Order: sequence, then C-alpha cells, then structure tokens
Amino acid sequence: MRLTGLLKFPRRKYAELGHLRHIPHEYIEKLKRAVPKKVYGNRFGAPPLIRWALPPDDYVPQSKPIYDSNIVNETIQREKRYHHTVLNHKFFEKRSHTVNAIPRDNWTFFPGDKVQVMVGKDKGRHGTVHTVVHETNCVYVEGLHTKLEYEEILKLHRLKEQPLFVDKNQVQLVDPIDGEPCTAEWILNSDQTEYVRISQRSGLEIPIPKSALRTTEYYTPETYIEVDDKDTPHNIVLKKTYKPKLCTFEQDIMEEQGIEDDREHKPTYWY
Amino acid sequence: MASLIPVISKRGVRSLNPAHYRPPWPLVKKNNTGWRKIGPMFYEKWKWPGQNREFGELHPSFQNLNPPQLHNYTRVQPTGYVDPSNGNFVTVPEMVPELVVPDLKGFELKPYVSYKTDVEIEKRISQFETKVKNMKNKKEAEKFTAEKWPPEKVTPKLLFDHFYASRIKKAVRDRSQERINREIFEHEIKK
Repeated sequence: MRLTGLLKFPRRKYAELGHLRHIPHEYIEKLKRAVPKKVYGNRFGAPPLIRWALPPDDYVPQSKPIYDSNIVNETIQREKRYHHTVLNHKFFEKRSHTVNAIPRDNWTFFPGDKVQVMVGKDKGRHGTVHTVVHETNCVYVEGLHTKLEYEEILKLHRLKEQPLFVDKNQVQLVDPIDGEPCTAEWILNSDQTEYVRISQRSGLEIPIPKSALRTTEYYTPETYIEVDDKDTPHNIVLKKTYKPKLCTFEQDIMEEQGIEDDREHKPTYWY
Repeated sequence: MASLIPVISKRGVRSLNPAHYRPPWPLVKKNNTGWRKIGPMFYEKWKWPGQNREFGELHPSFQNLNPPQLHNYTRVQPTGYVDPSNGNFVTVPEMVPELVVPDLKGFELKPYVSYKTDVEIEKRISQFETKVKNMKNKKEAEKFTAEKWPPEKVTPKLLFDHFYASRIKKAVRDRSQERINREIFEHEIKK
C-alpha cells in the first residue's frame, strides 16, 4: 500500500472541475499556439534552436470566455504579428505581463454561483456566474457589468459582459443566510472526508452548484448519455479479468493460437 | 578508438568511421559573424514528407510536382517489385502483410469508456479511503488489496511477489532451520 498517496487525502475534487475538463490538454495547449514550429536539434550537445509559432514568453493569457469564437483567431493574429516583427526587426521586445493565477486549490467561484458585483454601474446587484477563466482570475456574471459594443458585421449594438476579477475583489460570493457579500474558504467537513466551501463571516456552507459539474460531454456524470456501440458501460469496464501469468506477451499469444515453437535456441549465459 | 587508426578504409564500403562523416558545421559562413550566424546546410527536401506537419503529407494531386522518387507514394509499403526487364510489377506473396488478429466474438469492451464510470470510481475511492483512514499498519492494509482503488499496477515486482515471494520466504526459513539443526547435530557429535 502506498502511504504517499494519502498525504493528499482527502482529495480536493473541486479543483478538477471545469468546462474543458474532458478536452485533451495537448489540444488546449496547441490552441494557445505556444508550440514549437520547427526544432533544429542535433547540435552536438548545444541546446536546440526552436522556431516557435508563438514563444511561450510571449503568450498572454486572455480573459475571454470559452464561447468567444474570436479567441483562437486573436491568438493566430498575434502569432502572425510575432513573425512579422521577427522578420522586420532585429530584436523582439519582451513584454512583462505577470498574471498570478490563483491556485486551483484556493479557487472558490463556480458557474452557477450567486455573486454580487462590487464595481461599476451594477454595483451591489446580484447575479449568477456563467463563465470562469482561471488563467486570469476572472469571472463573467450573466447580464451584469456589461458594455455596449457595436458589431460591424451584424450591424448591431450589443451588451457584452466584461470580466470581473476575483483577485481585485470586483466580485464576491453571496452569503446564503442574509445575502451579504462574503469571502469563502475551503475547510474539511466534520467527517474529514471532503472539502467544503464556507463563508468566512457566517461559517455556513455554500454548496457547489450543479452547473459546476457541467463539461463539454455532459451536464452531470450521472445523466451522461452513453453512445451505444462506442461506450463501454461501467460495470464491464471495472470488471477484474486479469489473471497474472508468468509469460511474455508473445508466449501468451502462442499458447492461445496453438503455435508451437520447436526451434533449437542457442545457449545463453549470465555473467 | 576508431579515430586513432592511421589507415582509414577508402573502399566503396559503408563505414561508420567518423572521418567519413560531415564535419561539424562552421559556426561562421562567408564571414558572417554576430547576428548572422547560421546553422548547418540542410535542405528540407532531404526529409520528406516533412516534420511536424510543416509540409503535410504528399498528396497524389501534386505528385508530378514532387521529386520523381515520390511519384508512386501510396502511403503503404510495396507488396512486390518492378521487374527491370519488363517494367511490370511482380507481386511477392511474402511481402503482403498478414495481420494476426484474435476473434473478437463475444468481446464486451468497446473503444471508449462511458463517463458514468467516474461516478463508480469515486464511490470506490471513498470506500477505500474511509477504510484506510483508520489504519496505520501496512500489514493490516494489505488485507484489502482486492478492494484497493486505484488497483495495483502490474509491475515485475507484483508478478514476483505473486509467484515467487512465498516460495523464497519458505526456503529461507527452511534453510535457517536446517542450519540450526545442523549446528545442533554437530554440537551433539562433538560431545
């Protein structure tokens, strides 16, 4: 039994929640465009020369929500601008943009949470969070903290929600008992089995809303609709059918297929 | 060391002697110093169809634009050879790949796993954790290896423990007992 795994016991399950949970990490990293385009290796021990699509130093985390279709286009535009400057200028000016993302263990906002906006024209109003962007510590509240923008293509004026930053206290959770703004923290429950979110001013638990469990694949794991021919049901997946056997994969196949190896092997030695 | 050999073979034989290799690139070419250092001479067409998807796969549509060596690129290994006298293609049955695939009749596993398993796994983890919480003894926890979640990794050590460990323990015990018995026997003989 490994006791090292128990050091993280109990697990902070809330830290894994996210809309993009089931999308492969490599794909998300590729969308950021901070990927090597060409690697000149084999330089006799010298570090390889890498031509980046967008150098990781230059990657600027955006406060854009996931549903914003422009986010990938903007990253690609930035990538093109980078290459343009590399060709036309001798030096690339590094920008200093340190965004200290709040670690996921301390993050307390989830989609579906009732919050109060603390800044702007909607100051003091309550709303529901619908998008959370962990990279830049921002949160989008439905219908609040908006800005009137003109869309040229559709020729429409539209109220577009602006990000509210958690680390700057622009938005706060609402205490369930009296509706006042509060700060939350994570503590172990009485059974010592799970972490719960409590408001610091009243000590009451703020339960995690169901919208937080939502991903690109399902609303909740229990209500996930299985694809008939492609999804293995859980009872079959979790069946233990392995019987340990002392033989190589090739030997196992030979036994099963009835292949007999009657070649005479040369003697081997151990020194 | 190969570099100390005075005579390096010049016959038409492929040799791994470093003397035949290209020398390390010059760090400077045509007096280009400073910001204009360039790397070794390397032509991308030496590496085809291209690394890191930079050029994409060669499409038959562009075959006549490609180097002639690639005109018959079919993305698969050839199953024969071209007879030099005729120019005809001769199929060699041994070159045709034979896939040995087990019969999947009654095989229940499908290509993907349903997300509902996460719920089941959570239950099993919490069950195991509540049990293990009160245990400090490693031996006590070993009793629950069947219910352990996540299950133990199948490593060589696991197989060794499963097949050989008990036998070896027994042999060591017997040998130590045997040694004790022998000492007693010798001691008694001396008397």
